[in-house]
Amino acid sequence: MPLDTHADVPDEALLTLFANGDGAAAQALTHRFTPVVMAHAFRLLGDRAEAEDVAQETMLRLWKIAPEWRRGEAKVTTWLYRVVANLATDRLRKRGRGADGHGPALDDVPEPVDGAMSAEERLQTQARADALQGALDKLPERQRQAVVLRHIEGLGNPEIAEVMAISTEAVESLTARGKRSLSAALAGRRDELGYGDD
Amino acid sequence: MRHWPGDETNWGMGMTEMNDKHDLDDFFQAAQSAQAPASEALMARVMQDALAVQAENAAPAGVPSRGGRTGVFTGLFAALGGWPAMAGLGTAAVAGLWIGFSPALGLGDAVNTALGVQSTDTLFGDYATGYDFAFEEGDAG
Repeated sequence: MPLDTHADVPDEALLTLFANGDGAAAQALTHRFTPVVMAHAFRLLGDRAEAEDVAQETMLRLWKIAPEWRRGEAKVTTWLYRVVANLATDRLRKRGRGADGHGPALDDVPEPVDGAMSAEERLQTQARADALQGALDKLPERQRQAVVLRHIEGLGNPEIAEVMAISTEAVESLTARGKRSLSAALAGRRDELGYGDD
Repeated sequence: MRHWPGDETNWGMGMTEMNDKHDLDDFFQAAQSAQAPASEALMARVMQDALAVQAENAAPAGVPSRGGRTGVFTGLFAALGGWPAMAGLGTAAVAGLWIGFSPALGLGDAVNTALGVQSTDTLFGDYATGYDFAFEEGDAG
């Protein structure tokens, strides 16, 4: 895969270049944001095919809004997270939440990317990520979104508040409730997931 | 020996008393290490959309882009501004034609005034007489 030749160019400047018809900027933005958008969509949906559709639609909306992008109003990533969340919510409502309750299908299990891990560690990490995804899928949408943004994507509460259009206090409340539910769901699985064999 | 952060603090506690932060950190860390990668096919689709939108933005406003209709005249037509501009050009052409066919009527009064001639009949009459004369002479010859 080609490297991002605009690695040092800020997000908003790339959008301006894109709007001016710069093909290299299109490539740089694609490589910079598609993996981020895909990962977030998967964590909210737990389904690879649906996450890919949401990722493509989100990026399409970015391409279309590029000529009208107003600098300094919002970070590009903040805007992307918001669009992903809206599209994911639409899909979840259409299919009906908690319909299967069995976690992600085998083909949907994320693949560990850390090349330094042994095969056993990779499997274990995958099993833990899978278990977390299964528990996340059972959370109410807003709790799941807040927890994912805070503890997996690593955003601060003010930015999450901006993404979700709520107050920082509401973000804290959602993450706290979400984590309590996750903790309860995962507490009994620590042994099977290898936390007790060291 | 593998080390998972939080192990020491968690195993001395009952499950119901476990600290949310520590027991979940392990899982969050695993989720950060494991990703749902964007496939090559997805990257290609996204890039295709990007180039299509750029092409749409580059097309001149008001001229629908239709495949297979490119050429010198299509380009000239677009460059001149499409049908509205064509209508204006048509009007200008008709007006020019009309002006070209009727210069003497428009100029007559002004020229006569400048030359001090009282009536356009005189000038016009002289020309007409001369023409008739030549015409008759030609017929006779």
